Amino acid sequence: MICFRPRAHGIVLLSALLAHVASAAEPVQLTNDGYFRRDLVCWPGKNELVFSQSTPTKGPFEGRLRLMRMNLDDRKVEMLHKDGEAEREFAVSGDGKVIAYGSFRNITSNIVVKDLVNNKTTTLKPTGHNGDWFGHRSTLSPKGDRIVYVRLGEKMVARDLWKDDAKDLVLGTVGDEFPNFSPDGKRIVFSSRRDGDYEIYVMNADGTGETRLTKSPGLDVNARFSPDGGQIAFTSNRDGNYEIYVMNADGTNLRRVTNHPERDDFPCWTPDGKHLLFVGERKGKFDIYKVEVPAHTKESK
Amino acid sequence: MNIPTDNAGMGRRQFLKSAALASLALSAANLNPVQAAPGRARKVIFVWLWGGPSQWDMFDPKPDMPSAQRTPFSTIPTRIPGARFTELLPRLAARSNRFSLIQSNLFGGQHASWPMSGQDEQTARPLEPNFGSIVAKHLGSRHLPPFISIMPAGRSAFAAPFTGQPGVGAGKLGPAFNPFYVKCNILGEIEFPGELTLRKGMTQARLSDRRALLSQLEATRPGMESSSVRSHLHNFETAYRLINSPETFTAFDLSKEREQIRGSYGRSSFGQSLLLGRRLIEAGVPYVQVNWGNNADGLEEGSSMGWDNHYHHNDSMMSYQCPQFDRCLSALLDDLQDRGLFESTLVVAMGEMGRTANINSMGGRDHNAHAFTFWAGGGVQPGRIVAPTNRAGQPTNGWVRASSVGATIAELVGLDTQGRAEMNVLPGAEVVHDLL
Repeated sequence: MICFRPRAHGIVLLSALLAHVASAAEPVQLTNDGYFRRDLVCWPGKNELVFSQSTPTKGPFEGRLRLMRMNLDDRKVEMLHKDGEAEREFAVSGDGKVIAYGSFRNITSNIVVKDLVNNKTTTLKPTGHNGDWFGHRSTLSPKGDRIVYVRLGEKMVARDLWKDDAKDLVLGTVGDEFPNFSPDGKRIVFSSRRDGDYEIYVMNADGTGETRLTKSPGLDVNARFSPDGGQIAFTSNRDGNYEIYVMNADGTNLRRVTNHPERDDFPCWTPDGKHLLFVGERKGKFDIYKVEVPAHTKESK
Repeated sequence: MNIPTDNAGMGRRQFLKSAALASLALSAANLNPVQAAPGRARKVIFVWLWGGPSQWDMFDPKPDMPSAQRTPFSTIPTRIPGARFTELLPRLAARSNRFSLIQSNLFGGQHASWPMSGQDEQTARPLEPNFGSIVAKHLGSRHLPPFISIMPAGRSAFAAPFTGQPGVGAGKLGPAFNPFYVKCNILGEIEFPGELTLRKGMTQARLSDRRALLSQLEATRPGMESSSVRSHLHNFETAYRLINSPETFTAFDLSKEREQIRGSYGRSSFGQSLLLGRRLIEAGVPYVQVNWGNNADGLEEGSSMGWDNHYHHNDSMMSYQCPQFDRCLSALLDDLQDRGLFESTLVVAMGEMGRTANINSMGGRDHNAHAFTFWAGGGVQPGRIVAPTNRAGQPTNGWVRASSVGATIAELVGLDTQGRAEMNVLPGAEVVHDLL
C-alpha cells in the first residue's frame, strides 16, 4: 500500500509527486517470514539475490546474521555458506567471479575475499587499537581485481587484490562510508558526513574528482549504481522515515520510489536495471520487495 | 532437556523431591503481594541496554560540539520544551510528552552489572541486591516469579552477561528473588531453563507430558557441581511449574496477542521481549527486566547485539539499533496506554554507561561513565529533562548516580526510606524528586 503523506514541498512538486505516485507500480513482496534482513546484492549471471539475514533457527547461528542466497525464480532461500562466523555485507564483482563479505565476531570484523574461478581466498584484517581488527562495507571492481572497503570504522581505502605487495590507498576523508563501484569501475559512489550529515558523493576510482550529489536534511545512504551506471538508488529519511529514491548519476532527476509509513532500506538493482529490490519493514516484519523504477520526470534535486 | 547431577549421583526421585521443596520455598517467599500507594507504580519494566548506548546520538545531541564530537545525525524537535533528539528517534520524539529523561547519570564507565544495583556513595563499592530483587521482595507475586529477566535467544547461557558480578542477583535477599531467566527470539518463541521451549507447534499438553518429562530426566549429565544442580533444579522446577499452569503458561504465549500488536513491537527479539514483558506484568509479575543483547559488544546485529559501538558506530545506530529501539519502546508506551497500564507501570531504560563525546579514530564512541536514563509511567512526571547537560554536554546541576536510580524506582513502587532501611538496601541513596 502506497500512502502519500503531503509535506511542505510546494504545490508544483506536490503535483509532480502525485502524478508520479499514481503511475508507480505497487511493490511485490518476495519473502514473507519477516526476518531481519539487510544489504541486498544481485549476483551477476546467476539470477540470485544475496543478503544478510538474522535467523531464529535453533543452532549455532541462532540470532546471528548469515549470508543467504535467494533464487529469484522460485524464491527459494538457503544459507550461502554452511559454516563460519556471523557474516554480512556481501559484495560481488561485475563478472560474478569474485565475492567479498564481512566475517565478524564480537567487535571485530575482517573481510573475506574469494576468487571462485581460481579457488583463491584472502582475508583483510585492518588492525586497530587493542589489536582488534575491523573492516566492512566492501565493494569490488568489475573484474574483481580491486576492492574498496571501510577500514576501522569510516576511512575508505582501495587495495589491489591478489598482489602480495598491495597497499591500502586512503580515499576521501574521515566520515566516508557505504562505497559502491560503478559498473565500469571508473567511479565510486559513497556517503559522507563530512558536511554535517550524511550526503551522497561520487569520486573517481583513484580518489580524485569528488562531487557532492545530494543536499538534504537527514540521511542519504546506501547508494547503489544501476547496471548501466546511469542512475543511483539510495535510502533517505528526508521525508521523516527511510524511503528509497533514485537519481541520475550526476545527481539530477531525483525520483522517489517508495512511500510507506514504515521503513524502506537497502536498495539493490535487478540486472535488467528496470526494478529495485529493497527491504521493507511492514507491521514490524522485514521482507524483500521488488518495485519498478519510476520513469524519468522533470523533477530536479 | 538435560538435568545435571553432582558427583554424589542425584537420582530421579531425589530430583523430584528437591524440585518439590524448591517449589514450596518459592511459593512461601512470594505469597506477599502488597498494594502500592495509589498513583504510584505497581509494576516495573526495566529495559537494560547492554553495552552502553550513546546519549549524543539519541536523546542528547549537541550540534554545537566540535566536529570531532558532534553527532552526524540531524536533530528533530520533541514535545519537551527546549529538547531535541536525533532524527533516529522520530517515534519517541513524538511521544516525548509521556516520559522524562535524566541527562547526567554517572555510572561506572565499564561493562558491569552494578548500575542495576547501585554503588555505595562513600566507598564506591558495588551494592547488592539488584533493583529488581528489591522490588520483587517488596511487591511479591502469587503465581509467577517476582523478578523475570528476558534475554534474547542465542547461544548464551540462561544468565545475564557478567553473571557473578555484584548487581546481577538478589544477594542477601535470598535466591527466591534472583531473576528468573527466559529467552525470547525474533518470532516471540520462549525458551525456559532446562531447554523447555515454547515454540511454534509446541502445546502445553505436550510440554507437560509427565512421561516426556521423566524420559528427559533419565538423560542426566554427570560431573556437575552440587550448586549447579541446585540452581538447575530450581530453574527447571520453576519453568516446569510455569508451563504446567494454564494461567502462567498463557502469560508467556505471545501467539495470544493480536497480529497488529505483535507487529507494532516489531519482529526483533527486543520488540517481542518488550511485548512479553507487558504480558508478564499484566499477569502479576512485579518486575520484568528486558535485556537488549546477550552481549555488550555492538556488532552482531540481531538478538545478540549490544551497544558497545567502539567501531561501526554510525552505521549500527542508523541501520539497526536506533530504528529498533525507537519502534519497540514507542510501541510499549502506546500499548501500556491503550490497556490502561501506563499510570501503574514504571518503565525505566538505561545501559551500564554512555559513550564518549569524542568520536574515536575508528568512527566509534568509547566508554563513558556519563550516561542517560529514560523514565515513563508509574508516577513519573512526564516531559522533563532532569539533571540537564549544557551545550557542551556537561552536567549543569550535578550527577545522578545508580543508587539514586534504584532509590527512585523503590520510592515509586511504595518502598520509602523507612522501608528501604528495614530491608537494609540502598543505604543513603537519594530519591530523584525532580522526576516525581
